[in-house]
Amino acid sequence: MIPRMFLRGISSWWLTSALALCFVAAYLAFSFGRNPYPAWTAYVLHAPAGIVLVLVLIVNLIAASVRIIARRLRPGPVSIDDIRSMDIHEVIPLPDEASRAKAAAWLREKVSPRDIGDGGIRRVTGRFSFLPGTLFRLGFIITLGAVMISVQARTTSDAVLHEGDRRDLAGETLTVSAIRANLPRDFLQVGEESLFLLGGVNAALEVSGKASVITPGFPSRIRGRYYRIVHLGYAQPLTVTGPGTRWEGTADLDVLPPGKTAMVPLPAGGTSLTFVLEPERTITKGLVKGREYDLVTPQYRLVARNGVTRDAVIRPGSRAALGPLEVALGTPSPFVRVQVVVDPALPWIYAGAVLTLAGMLFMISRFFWYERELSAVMQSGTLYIGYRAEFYKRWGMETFLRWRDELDGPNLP
Amino acid sequence: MSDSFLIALREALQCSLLLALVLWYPPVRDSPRYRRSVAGGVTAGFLLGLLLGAVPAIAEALPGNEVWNFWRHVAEAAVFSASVVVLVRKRAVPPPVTAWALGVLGFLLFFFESRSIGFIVHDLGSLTGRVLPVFAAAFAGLALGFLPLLLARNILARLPFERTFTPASLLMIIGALQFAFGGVGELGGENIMVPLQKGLLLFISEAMKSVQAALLITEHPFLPVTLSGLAQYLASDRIALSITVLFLMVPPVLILISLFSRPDPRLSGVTLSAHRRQQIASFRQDLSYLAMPVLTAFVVLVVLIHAVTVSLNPLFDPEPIPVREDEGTEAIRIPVAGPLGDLGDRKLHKFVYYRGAQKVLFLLVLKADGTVGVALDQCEVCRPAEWNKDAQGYAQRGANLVCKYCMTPIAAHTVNTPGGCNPIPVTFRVADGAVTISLEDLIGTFTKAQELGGKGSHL
Repeated sequence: MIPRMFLRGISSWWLTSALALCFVAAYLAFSFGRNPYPAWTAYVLHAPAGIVLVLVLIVNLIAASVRIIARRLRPGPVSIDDIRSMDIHEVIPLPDEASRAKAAAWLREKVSPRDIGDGGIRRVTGRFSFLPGTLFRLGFIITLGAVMISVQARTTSDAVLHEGDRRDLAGETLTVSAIRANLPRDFLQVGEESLFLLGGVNAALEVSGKASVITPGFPSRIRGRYYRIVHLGYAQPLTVTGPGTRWEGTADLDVLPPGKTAMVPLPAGGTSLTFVLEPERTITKGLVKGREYDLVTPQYRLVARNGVTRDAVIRPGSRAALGPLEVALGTPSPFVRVQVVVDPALPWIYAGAVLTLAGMLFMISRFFWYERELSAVMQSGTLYIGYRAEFYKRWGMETFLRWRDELDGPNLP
Repeated sequence: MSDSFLIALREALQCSLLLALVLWYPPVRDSPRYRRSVAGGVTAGFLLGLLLGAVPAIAEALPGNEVWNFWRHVAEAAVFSASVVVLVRKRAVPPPVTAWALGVLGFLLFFFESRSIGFIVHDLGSLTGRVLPVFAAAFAGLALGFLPLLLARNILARLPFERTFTPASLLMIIGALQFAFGGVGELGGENIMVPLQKGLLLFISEAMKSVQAALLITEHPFLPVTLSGLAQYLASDRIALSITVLFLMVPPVLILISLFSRPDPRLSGVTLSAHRRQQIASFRQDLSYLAMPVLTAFVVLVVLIHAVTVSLNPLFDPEPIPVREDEGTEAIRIPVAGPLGDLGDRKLHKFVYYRGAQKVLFLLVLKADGTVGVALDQCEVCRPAEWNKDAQGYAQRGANLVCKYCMTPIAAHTVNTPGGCNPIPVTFRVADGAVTISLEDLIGTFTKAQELGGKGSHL
């Protein structure tokens, strides 16, 4: 008795609703704080109570799916109690042989021989209409489980890489053979809001001997690790000469999109250089107005701060004097920031997301694909007959009543 | 004193309406136990609310009005959503549970309003230094507000509540009306729609970022990321509004479906056609009665949704500022930033120049590319009739101007471009941080626009 009640409870939609309410209540409670969403996800994915709720939800969804599938594929014998609990049912006395023959003839029209079992007749259409919902739940369960594993197991590292670099990252040796950026020569910035969008960025990597190309889009899986470009900028060689000092190196300038500033602290003297892209020209007349930038050989506005602020516009391959400092720029090349993720659950997150989406799309079919059941039992000269439809119950009941009228009518074979 | 009277009267009238729906619903009307539960709940809600709001020591120890408003929204949403639970439940609810639930419903009908009334009335009393008379006025307002309930009890008893409401539709209409009434407006008691939509927007935008992070496709400011367009769409205010609409429309739609899923009456056994017609008419009338609260809720909710859309994205229609030509010149000079306003705020600025009895209305706007647009505040095409002159000209909604007559959105960057429903451009020049418009150009353009007046509108 108790296991049966437990099974019924654990697989019920009421439990699903109660769990959903718990998640909503937790979010509402956290919404009194400053950042409710991060606090809520931390509770759901890391706190013991939240993890228990998620696990119960997973068990509930599995149990509900099993219950639905079992009921659809292995229904129990037809009983009078079942018929009485259907959307609509009739109890029709068949006292004589003629009325029984008439009912049998009528039933032969409505059902096929394989619908006839030992205990009675059950004709079910749309038996497999549980598939869209089950697919959706399966996807959701996989996603939930995979996310639970991912938050515990995922490790992320990243590094700035230049063309030709060789680095050890996340236990693998990376060699960057090429970086392709497709930077435009004439990018026109119109208005204040940045319109800069750089397509076609990729980097050719060799990871412990295996070559691959990575992009800012979907991560690339190389030797069990996921690689992706997460940022791009200019690697700018520069030489700074001051009174008695000289510094030479490459600064990774994060100056994209145009308008963004990048600060380069110099090793000595508390001096810093601030770079910002300088437009080639400003177009003020005509239909298209704005600031035009050459992003292949960009010119910078360079500001030096060392107690006194001085600025100059400088192009790669040239030099400029900023008070006591002289700055010379070499030819820039793009750098990429590469993210490396080790996550055993990531393929499952993707699989779960795809299945969830497929289930949602497939769910549209439920508008016309739904279960309808006609059951009948003959007992002691009485026909018990009932009808149940998953949706559009009114149509189902009206169909049943029409059948009932047919059975009463004189024109049956 | 009159303020406290009016506030209490208004809130009591609103509560009376909701209470009447509950008390005269047949299962409650016919059961003294249920009636006692509702009355007990309302009384408890009233007394506790008043205590929490009006006693300064308690009110100060408790959270502020924002938190109370939040819980009011939660309570209203719970009552509204409970209609779905009542609709889908399969087993009959035992009478003690029903009595308990009715007590809670009664409590929620007046608790939050009562707390707000207590708070505001105490505040008004403290401000005027006449606490007792202000409270007396509030109690008079409450008494007057609940009086119709007593006076109309015989009429209410005759109304066909049993044919009009199901338990689910009753809860739903109470929830919808609570949404519509909101809280006590004087304490910022806005209705649930704005916070719900803002909260949903925050949630879905954060959730979408989490999904992108989990799938390793986080957004980037300038590198195109796979599915980022879809993610941006799913995290947009449109989706937040759609979910809000879904939340509000699901209960009425489900109730309507359940009402109209009943099969037509069986008429095969009825031989007399007059009886058949009578049964069909009776069935249809019953359906109409039952559908009435649902359709009323629909109307209330649609009005609320419209109101929230307008309040989240309102029309900005500033008052025109009078300007004159500069001393000794034949030109109007409007500084880009100065006492007449700052164009840098990207808002619509309107000005009026009086030429004798004529009002020349014109507008200025700073466009996204940093240039200025100057035009008459009238459309070349839309000519509202004399009685509808208020609909002439433009207002601003978001980044667009909107023709107030035909509500066509005009992209702000197209101001100065003639044609269509665009405002009529005026020649100007920008120099020394000011927009200069010569009177000759302004009056000339205005005169030509007036000559167009007889041509009528495109609508």
